[in-house]
Amino acid sequence: MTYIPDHLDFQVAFEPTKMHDKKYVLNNETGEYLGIVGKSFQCASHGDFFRGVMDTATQELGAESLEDAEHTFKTARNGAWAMLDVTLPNIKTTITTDKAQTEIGNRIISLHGIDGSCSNQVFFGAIDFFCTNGMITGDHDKVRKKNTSNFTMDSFIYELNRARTDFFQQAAKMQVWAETSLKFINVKDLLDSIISSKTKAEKMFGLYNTEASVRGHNKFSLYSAFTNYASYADERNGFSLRNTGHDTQAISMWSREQEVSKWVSNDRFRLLEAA
Amino acid sequence: MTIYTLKNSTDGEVWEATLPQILHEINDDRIGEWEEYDETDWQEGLLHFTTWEIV
Repeated sequence: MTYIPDHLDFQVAFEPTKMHDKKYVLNNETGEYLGIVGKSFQCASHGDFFRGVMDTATQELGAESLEDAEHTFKTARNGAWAMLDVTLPNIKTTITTDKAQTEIGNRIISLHGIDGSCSNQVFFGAIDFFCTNGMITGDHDKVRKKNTSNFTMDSFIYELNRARTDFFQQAAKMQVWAETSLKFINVKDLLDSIISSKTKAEKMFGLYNTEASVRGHNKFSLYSAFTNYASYADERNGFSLRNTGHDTQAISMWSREQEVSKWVSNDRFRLLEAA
Repeated sequence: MTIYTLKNSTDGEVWEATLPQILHEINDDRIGEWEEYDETDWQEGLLHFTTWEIV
């Protein structure tokens, strides 16, 4: 049974509003109002959803794969949105560049919202143990998937069964990236063409150079710069998040992971091996 | 077009609706990371995110 933090393991309650077709969503433990939804809205609690994900994952991948797994919960919107990021250290491999080696491990990310802000979603990915950068694997268009709250749906089980194979396939692709030199590529121009914001592209170029100083001038370093952007938001990488005061930082970081997934699907990035 | 009869499990209200109306009910007012349900998985969306049941 997966441990769910107390502040997330609450039952969801509803209360009518003055509008006939809307109702409030409440945290039943604290009485805190979390959102307004249509009157027919219902959903599973975070606890039931995440326990369902992990129970099914344990069943399908085997207890040994999840042994020593690290569970990280992130929340936003005062607990209405939650994310469970599970790192599986027992499914791992090594990526080697001409300057360095790093281990990457498999990762399962599940998202859940109780205020209509998020359908039930599960993603697969990897984590770089050297810098703890998170990565989503799969093509951008295919990576967004819905699943049922009780996870009996065949497609989720099918994806879980493919997770190990997909992880090693993705790792093989990253190894090719590690061997793809960017010494004769104008990385600044490349970033300008992939990233629409000039300022962001400029900062990303700086981040790439930092990564390249450790891992060499190759495509994996560029990817590491991207995943660094999606994993950290502070002075270290120059991509701080604005504090909007609306408890949305975890969602913003998740959006960055999806942004990275989009950049990686861009033809200019994809076809670098052929250059 | 097929008309579906649905019953609201909270108050017993009966609703006759077409698939586009049902999809609207499931996906309406959603924000952020909501992935819209469609013709292929609407029954799942209905089951997990609304109080409507198909009669």
